[in-house]
Amino acid sequence: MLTDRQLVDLVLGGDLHAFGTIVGITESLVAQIVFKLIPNEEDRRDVAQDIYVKVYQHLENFRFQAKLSTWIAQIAYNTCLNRLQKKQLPVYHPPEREAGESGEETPEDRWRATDETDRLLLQKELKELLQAEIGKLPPIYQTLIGLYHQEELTYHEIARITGLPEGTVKSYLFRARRQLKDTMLYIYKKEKL
Amino acid sequence: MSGTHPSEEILQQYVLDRAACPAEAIHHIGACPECQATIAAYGALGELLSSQPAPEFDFDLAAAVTVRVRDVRTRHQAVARVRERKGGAVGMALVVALFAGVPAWLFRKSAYFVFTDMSAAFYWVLLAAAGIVVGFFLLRLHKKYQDVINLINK
Repeated sequence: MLTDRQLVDLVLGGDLHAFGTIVGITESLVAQIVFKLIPNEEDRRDVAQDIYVKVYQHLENFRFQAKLSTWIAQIAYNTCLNRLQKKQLPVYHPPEREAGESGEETPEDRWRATDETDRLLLQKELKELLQAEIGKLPPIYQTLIGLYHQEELTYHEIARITGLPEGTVKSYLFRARRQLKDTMLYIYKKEKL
Repeated sequence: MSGTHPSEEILQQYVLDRAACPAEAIHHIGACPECQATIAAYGALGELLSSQPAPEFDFDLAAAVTVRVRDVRTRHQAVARVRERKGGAVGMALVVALFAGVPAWLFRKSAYFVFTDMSAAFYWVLLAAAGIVVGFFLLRLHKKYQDVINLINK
């Protein structure tokens, strides 16, 4: 397995195969960002390619201050935002709200009433429900959820990619999780009745 | 059970990184079934989130990008060649100016006497020849420029 520096050196030396390797390594991370921020499928295809062309063009400016994947994700995020701005689509940034101010009844009791076996049986169903619920979240929440829970990036890395302060990343993630938990418990309760 | 319930933020923190939670909160959670239920819910949610299917592009991104990058590289090389040629032409013009201009400037007073004995016809021939050479040179330059532009736009 080649290091970031070795890969970059190879690409700068003219090795396009090495660039293909970089694309392969970072594709899933870029997909997380592109799929969450760009609603149109055709645009996604263009944006994904534009991202890597930009990466290629600016690779000589990469100073190894962060992981190569983080740097590429940063380019991906900014490219998506630029595309949205060009098409005048709004990037939804939710308003600041105090923690615990959800306004809805917290349904932990219902969750507690469910035993482990039941939950396992409902795992698949819940997965699908959750996927649908994630899709209803603001794009920025979806992106953060994908980066944190699926790509397993740290708050610091996510902050670097999105340009948001680390505290804001934490706060958005907290609210997204709470919203998902509350909605899932609510749906679950309705189905049980 | 001790005091009021910890905030949901702390409960989430407990699920993600228990060690980063305040000792008081850990103590409370250990004895509070309500908080334990919330933690169980967040735990299950975390598992579900991690196991969500990752989005994937429905085309070979690496292949598509490689084609575009190859194209970009060809254009860059073409542009570099144009710059190189431009640099060469400028250099050549400077050399010509130096070799022709300096003596012309130094002997500018005697040059008048050299040309006064020539006929008007000779001046016209000289002017026409110079015009042909310059025209030919410009035509060649334009053709080269067109070639590069065609290469870039290909």
